[in-house]
Amino acid sequence: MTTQERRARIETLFDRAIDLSPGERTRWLEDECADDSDLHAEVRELLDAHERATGILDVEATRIAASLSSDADDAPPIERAGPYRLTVEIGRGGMGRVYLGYRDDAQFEQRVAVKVLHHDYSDAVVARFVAERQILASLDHPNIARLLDGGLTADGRPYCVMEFVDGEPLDVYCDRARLSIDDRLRLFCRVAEAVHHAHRNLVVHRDLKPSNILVTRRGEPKLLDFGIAKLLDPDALPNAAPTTLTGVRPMTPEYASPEQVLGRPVTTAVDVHALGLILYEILAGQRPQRRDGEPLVHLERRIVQEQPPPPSVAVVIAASAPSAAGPRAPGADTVAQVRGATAAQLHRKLSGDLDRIVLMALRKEPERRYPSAQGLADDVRRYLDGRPVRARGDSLGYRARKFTVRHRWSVAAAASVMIALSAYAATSTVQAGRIRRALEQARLEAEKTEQVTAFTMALFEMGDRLDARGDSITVRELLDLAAERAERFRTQPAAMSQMLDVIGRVHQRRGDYASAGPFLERALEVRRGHFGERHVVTAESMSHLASLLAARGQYAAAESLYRQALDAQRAVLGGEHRQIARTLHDLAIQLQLQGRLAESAALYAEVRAMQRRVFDADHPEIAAVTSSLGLLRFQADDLDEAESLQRDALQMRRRLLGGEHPDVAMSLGLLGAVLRRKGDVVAAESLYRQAISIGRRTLGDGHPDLAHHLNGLALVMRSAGRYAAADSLYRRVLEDRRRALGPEHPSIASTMYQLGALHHERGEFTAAESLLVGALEMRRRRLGASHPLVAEVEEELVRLYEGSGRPELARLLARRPEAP
Amino acid sequence: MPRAHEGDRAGEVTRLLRAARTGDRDAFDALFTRVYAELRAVAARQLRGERDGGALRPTELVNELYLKLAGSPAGEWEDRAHFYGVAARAMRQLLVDLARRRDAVKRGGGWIMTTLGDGTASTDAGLEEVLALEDALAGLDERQRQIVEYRFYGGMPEQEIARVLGTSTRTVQREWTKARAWIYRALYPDSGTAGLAPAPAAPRAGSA
Repeated sequence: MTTQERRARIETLFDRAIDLSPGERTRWLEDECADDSDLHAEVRELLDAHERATGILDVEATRIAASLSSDADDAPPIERAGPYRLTVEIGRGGMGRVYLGYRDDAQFEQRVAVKVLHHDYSDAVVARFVAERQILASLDHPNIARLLDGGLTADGRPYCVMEFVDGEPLDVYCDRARLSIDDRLRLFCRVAEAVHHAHRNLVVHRDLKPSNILVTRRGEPKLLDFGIAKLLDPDALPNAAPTTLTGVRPMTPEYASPEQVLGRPVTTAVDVHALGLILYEILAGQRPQRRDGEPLVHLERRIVQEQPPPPSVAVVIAASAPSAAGPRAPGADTVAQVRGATAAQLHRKLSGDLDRIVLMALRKEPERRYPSAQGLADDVRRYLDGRPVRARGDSLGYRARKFTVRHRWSVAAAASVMIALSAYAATSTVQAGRIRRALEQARLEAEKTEQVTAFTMALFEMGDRLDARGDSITVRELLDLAAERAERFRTQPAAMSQMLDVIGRVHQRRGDYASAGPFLERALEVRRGHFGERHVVTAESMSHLASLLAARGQYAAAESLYRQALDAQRAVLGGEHRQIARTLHDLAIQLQLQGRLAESAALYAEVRAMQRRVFDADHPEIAAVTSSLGLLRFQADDLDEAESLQRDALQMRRRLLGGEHPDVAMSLGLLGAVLRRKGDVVAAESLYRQAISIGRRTLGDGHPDLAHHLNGLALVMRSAGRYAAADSLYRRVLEDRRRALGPEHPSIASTMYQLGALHHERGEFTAAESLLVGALEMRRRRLGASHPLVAEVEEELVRLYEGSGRPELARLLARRPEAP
Repeated sequence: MPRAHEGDRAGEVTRLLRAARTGDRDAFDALFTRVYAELRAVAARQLRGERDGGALRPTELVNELYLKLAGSPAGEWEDRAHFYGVAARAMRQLLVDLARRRDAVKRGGGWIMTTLGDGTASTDAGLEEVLALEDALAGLDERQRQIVEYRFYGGMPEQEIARVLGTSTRTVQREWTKARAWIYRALYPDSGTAGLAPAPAAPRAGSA
């Protein structure tokens, strides 16, 4: 065994061992390594190292860099600030440190919190600091920690002295004391009223958050740090050095208001917004502006643009998708439990008035929030008293008007916009309102994909045009507009190719293969020129064009292009990658369509194995491979296995994609095919009818994929002996397919063959013969003479000739396959 | 004019990123040099007493650098992801250089084992550990080494790492767990199970 193999062996055992409990692990490992004590020892050691390594590499690399480059290590602790003796450090924040202090010269020992800043400020700034302090000191309210004093330390650092509050942060207190929702609301009202008191004295807090609101043992809330943020604001203190790389104002992003993010003037409405966030958090147990390891700019964009889900919805989302709420977010049951309710009760309690109150406080425009903190507190009290609240949801009209404005600076991907639009491409005329919804959907998509192109802006302009027209526009018009725009991006090949690609794919999704071609071809050409042959983006274009070729029935050409894509992807991405798995799957389908079933089966095995490693759990791609594999088993006449695979795929797709999705329709149809072949025509008919109705709604009449389902239903009708119904369905399928796919296509040949066989069965030899001969010729041309589907037609024709008294023709045909 | 200059530079960075993505070694080096210089400058700023407020998390730092160098907040996802890779590499190099420079100064307190709370604890840098970690990384296989770079030096979230490597977050987590165990074993060879087979040195990837 080479070192490498041995290492791989150790790692495999390690992977399996850590999934076991420590008790099972020992036994299992001994069994596994019974004949190799060295191996046992090495795995054991690695497992021990793993147990000990939990804290390892948890520190951030930046801190180490800072620490290594800092010669003036930690400043020595300060022992005195004015008349205050400082003892232990009780906190450390972005701007300085907080110490527990005692006043030396007082008759009685008064405990205070002393905040010492670490910046050197100019004289003018210090003067300003002192003046502001006077105002803050005048704040006298039982729920506001008083600012007692302030000044400069001996070495010239500004400090301020505050009442020392011994308590817990608001959120911690609420949960630990297991306060009910009503008790939380009562406590919140007192906080909001304290904030209002400060506002009436012209002091804005600017940095309200649960950790700045302590609750004492007696249940009294105390607000800390009132006005401190302003003292530290670089705008207010123009000579202060910026504290971050970009010089942003000190604020806690998770509790910031849109106007703070935008650097707009700060008013009391900032505190109302922060109170809304705090209320949200103590009610729903989640931070609406939580930052989950994402870049700051993302969070800031969310703060400015996105309304958080209503608290009642947030508790349900937490229940259904724990990962979406962040790994550390408590589960819905825990959240409900510490509020003395079940998750369902909590959802009901928050729905309606409380949702509206919170969302009104959180509105993006300051002037549309509660006019004051008191107004918010009053509405909460109205709720507690069972009186009607003032908060109202945004009207539909308002949301529609805001839409275009928001999108003017939304960061969105052109691709997602267009793909979302294509979902609405079912009908040829789309109401402007539906396009708006599509764009809304696109915006959500775009947040994920994170791409900005000028194209997006152009699309939003189009959205404006839609508004101006007010009535309707066809998707086709929209695509033509998009194409026109794309031409203006000649100097930006990356952006232009992206647009061309998207436009082509939307045409293809709509079933308009003829229009799709030139766009996808051109996109590939531009990308080849700009990115080169071996590039993932070029490979993507190859795959897209290949998929169109496959849809047009040009399987061999599709195969060759997929292989090129695969080469490029392997060169850039290495051996294993989601994109590679996908291309392999596409390639396997091409082989399958060409009748090369054994080759295709081998590829499927490879894809399945890779998928297990590169996907977390269920994934639409896994469902897609399951479904293709089911089709392969169907072709091999292994109907039980085919049925089980199709059922798995259908179930997975329903779960992942919802009921209304073309892929779900496809799975229903494929399952229908298996059941028909098994002889269960009743079940098969019902499945096809479901597939057709979903297909109609999601794809639109005349779409080639819908024709699959209609064709399937025709087969069922024929099996059930309902020839007239089958006949009319086949004719319709032929018509639809010829319109969408042109005169010649493998699927047209299939329908002709089946319709021919139907006529044959009914003794209509002339009609049957012409259809079967047409099908045979088309299949020979498109699939090659040795394809199994060619033999199928030939056999039918042989029987026809024999049955209609023309044995010489039958013999002639029967000999042909043996010809070299 | 300064605007135009900025724009050129941003465009240049994007161009370098794309070239580096396709395997252009010179482009990678040029990019690396720039990112490294910026990182160094940040470290120097921390030195001037802005440390308490300014200890950016790696994720923030990389994003700020990207904004500064590439000039736009988003750009193509692949560009950003690649930038992460370059920045992580630069950060790793910077740590090594800083540690070597201060090699004479011996200080206690292992940062590697320090689990930090909400920015409240201070960090003592164990420069020996920085250098020891380099040795340990050399013993990892390529994918594990990449994951450690992205995650530890670059602060890249697991999901993004999975996306870059085209694999599942589960695989990333599993490889990270193993990498950490190997690193631990290499850093603390004596702390393992005494009495069993003599602890070998950090395993080397590959036999060739």
